[in-house]
Order: sequence, then C-alpha cells, then structure tokens
Amino acid sequence: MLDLWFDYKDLWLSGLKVTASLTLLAILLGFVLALPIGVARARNRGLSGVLAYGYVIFFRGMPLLVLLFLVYYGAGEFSRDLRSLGLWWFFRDAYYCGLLALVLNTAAYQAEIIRGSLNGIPSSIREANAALNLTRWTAFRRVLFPIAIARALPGLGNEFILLLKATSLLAIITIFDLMGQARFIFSETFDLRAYYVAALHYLVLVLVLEWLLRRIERRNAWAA
Amino acid sequence: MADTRAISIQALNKYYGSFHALKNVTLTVEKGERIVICGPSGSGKSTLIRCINGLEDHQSGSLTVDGVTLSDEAAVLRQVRARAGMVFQHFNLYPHLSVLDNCTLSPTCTLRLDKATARRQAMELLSRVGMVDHAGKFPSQLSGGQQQRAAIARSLCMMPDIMLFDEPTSALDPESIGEVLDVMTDLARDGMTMVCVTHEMGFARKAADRIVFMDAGQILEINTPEAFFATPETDRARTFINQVIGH
Ligand SMILES: Nc1ncnc2c1ncn2[C@@H]1O[C@H](COP(=O)(O)OP(=O)(O)OP(=O)(O)O)[C@@H](O)[C@H]1O
Ligand SMILES: [Mg+2]
Repeated sequence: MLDLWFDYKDLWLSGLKVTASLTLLAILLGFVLALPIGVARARNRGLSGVLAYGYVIFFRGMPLLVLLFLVYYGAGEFSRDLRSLGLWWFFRDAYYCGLLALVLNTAAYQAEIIRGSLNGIPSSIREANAALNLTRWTAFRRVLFPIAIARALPGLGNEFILLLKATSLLAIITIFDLMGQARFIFSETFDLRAYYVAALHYLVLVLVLEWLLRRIERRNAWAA
Repeated sequence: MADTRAISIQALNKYYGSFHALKNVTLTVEKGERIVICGPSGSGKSTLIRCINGLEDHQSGSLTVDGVTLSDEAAVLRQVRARAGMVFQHFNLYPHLSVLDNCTLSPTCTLRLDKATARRQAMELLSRVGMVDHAGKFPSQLSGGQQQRAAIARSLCMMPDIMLFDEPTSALDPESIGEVLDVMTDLARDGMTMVCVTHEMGFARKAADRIVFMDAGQILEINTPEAFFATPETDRARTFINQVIGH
C-alpha cells in the first residue's frame, strides 16, 4: 500500500490538506453560528427562540447530501441573481458551497449540544450570579459560557469527528479532498487499495482530533 | 433622622403557586443585630431569607433593606443585593474559577474595582477566613468547610452591610462545622448585621441577639436566646428545642 501512497504522494497530501482545512473551518464557523442559536434555544423565548427552533428542525432534518446538492446545484439556478448581488464568486466555487453546507449542518447539531449543556447548569450557579449582582452579560461570558462549553466538550468532540468523516461527501461535488483524490487515483489505477489508503488518512485525522480534544478537556479538570 | 433598621419586613406573604409558604411575616432587624432563624424543615426559613435579597419574589406585604424597598425592578434588586450578601447551604462556588477568582470576579466586573485592588481585598478577606493558602485552588480541590469559608469571603468581597446565611453548615461534617461557625462568630463580633438560618443552637446562644422561630410559614416566636431556650412560649418551639438539643 505504501507504493500507492508514494506514487501519488502529492495528491494524497493535497487531499489531506483540503479535508483538514474543510473540517477545521466547518468546526469553527459552525461553532460561531451555533453559539447564538444554542443560546436562543436554551432561553426558548420570543422570536429568537422560534427562529432557533426552526433552524434546528430544518437543518437537522435535512440529509447533508441533499443540502449539499441544494447549495451547489441550486445556486446555479440563481446564478444571474447571485451575480448581481456580487455573491457568484462564492457560489460557483465547489469548496465554498461544500463548506457552507457543512457549516449549516453542523451548526444545528452543535447548537443542540450547547443548549443541553446550558440548560444543565445547576440553578445554584445562577443563584450565585444573582446574589453577586453579575450583569447578564458578565454572567454569560465569565460563568455560564465557560461552564457550558466545558460540559459540552465530549458531545462537541463527537460531533467534530462525525463532521470530519462527513466531509468525504464533498467529493461528489468535484472537491478533491481525501475522498476526491482516492476516487481519482482509483479511476487511474483501478486499484481498490486507494480507498484503504484514504481510510487510513481519515483514521489518522480522527486520532489527531481526539488527541486535541483530550488536551482541551484536560485543561478543564475541574468540570469532573 | 438616621434609620437604624437594616431590614424591615411587613406582613409578607409568599405563595408557590397555590401553596402559602410565608404567612403575614413581620420582622425588623436593627443595624448590627444578629438574628438566628430556626424551625422545622419546610417551615419557610429558606423562603424568607431568599425573599430578603429578592431571589424569591413575594405576593404581598413589604420588604425594605437598608432603606430600599424591594420590587421586581432590576435596578432595585441590584441595590438590595449590593447591600445584602448571601451564603448558601451548598456554597454555590464557581467550579471553573480558583478561590481567588471566585472572590474577584464580581468586584472587578460589577463594582469595577481594578484587578490589583480586588486581589488585595480578596486576599485580606481570605486570610480572615483562614483560606489564604488555598487561594489558587479550585473548589473541587477543597473540603466542604474550606469551600464554605471561601464562599463567605467571596460574599464579603462585595462589601455588603448585611450577611444572609441559609443553613451554611448543614452540608458539612462536624469538624468543618466548627471552622465555619468560628468565621461566622468572628463576623458577628465585628458588628456585621447577620441573618442566619441554622440549627446550630450553640452558635445561636453565643452569637445571636434574637432568635426567630418559624413553623408552617409563620413566625411563632421572637425572643432572646436565653428566654427562647429557657422558657419557649409555644409547644411547637418546645418540641423543636428538645429535638435539636436532644441529639
Ligand atoms: N420552588 C418551590 N416551589 C414550590 N414549593 C416550594 C418551593 N420552594 C419551597 N417550597 C415549599 O415551601 C415550603 C417552605 O420551604 P423552605 O425551603 O423555605 O423550608 P425550610 O424551612 O428552609 O426547610 P429546610 O429546613 O428543609 O431547608 C416547603 O413546604 C416547600 O415544599
Ligand atoms: Mg431551607
């Protein structure tokens, strides 16, 4: 199998880079989007609560592959409008479309994880916030948020690993991530081992991600 | 005319849904006075003390703390909570912050003290409760008694005029109870206005100016410790005293 890797070393490395960058960006941008949605879900009041609930229902209910096609091929339908809005550079690029689909999808899952851990914060903590006169913003930023994230880490880690593997779907819309490269190499060689090599790459990435998550979790030893 | 009343409670009524938890409670606490509230489980002690700093709302009657009459307005609640610090049965420390950070969070964020001042003040108060050596530790690394002393220091860091304690020692082992009661006795000696819900009758005898006995949402007796223990006025109080002293 090593020969297959060395013969196509550049392709594998570039696939690795694309998969890693897609995963990392989707995790980060997804988290940024998930945070306000998760907070609105936890508050569960007013318009923001309804919108957040709608978001989660919609994007958790839609298979990632369907979402991917809707974003990538669907955008083509509106190319004229998107051009006039100055957004065409984004939607004509498979990488950006794929990333957008991943972000929209993972944000729904991450929001639910954040909601759960916010709601799980014991009421004694909120009482301390009140008794100490913390403003709502300080209470959130310095107390509720760090505690919620620490409690959410195991769940978020799980979601990140699922997301990493879900990036392989993007090969279908012509992205040359690990899976895309494996498909290309297979089409050149008809050597099924190409997919084993891809699988090993994913395994390594998962192990690296797990190692990173464990390091972060260890910094929150107090949460145990 | 200077108002000498720290807390004035007039005909306070509190309902949880249809359950009448506080019935026409009237109580005045003078500045510098130490009050112990006792009574059987479910009699409304926690409810009363939590009403005083607005952690629970009330349905009728009035409640004035240092001249501020409680309402459900956020600004009023903030004023009342700035005057009355609270110590909880289960400490309620922030698990993700060191003892020192627990003590400086609100002083820096709410009182807007600069970091150095807040730390200096926190270290002074931590030394007062015997916790200087543990300032860098997280709550999970401390015994119950140490956590409660840290929680008392955290509350004192907000420079309250009044301290409210809700069964501060009932989650502790006997040795820790002593540590915490020593700190509270020290505070009492220092002239802090205190309202303590506690079953520690030794502390009540030693530190309290008056004892308030509650049962079923009502105040049945208010008396000096000597009179309360020697000649309780009601049968309920007599039974209660026999129970807590009897073991
Ligand atoms: N959040 C709540 N909702 C409904 N009922 C409540 C609530 N909190 C307290 N109660 C009821 O109000 C009554 C008084 O409760 P409270 O906690 O004030 O008693 P307590 O005197 O502090 O008792 P303990 O010694 O067990 O702490 C109890 O009957 C209790 O069941
Ligand atoms: Mg109680």
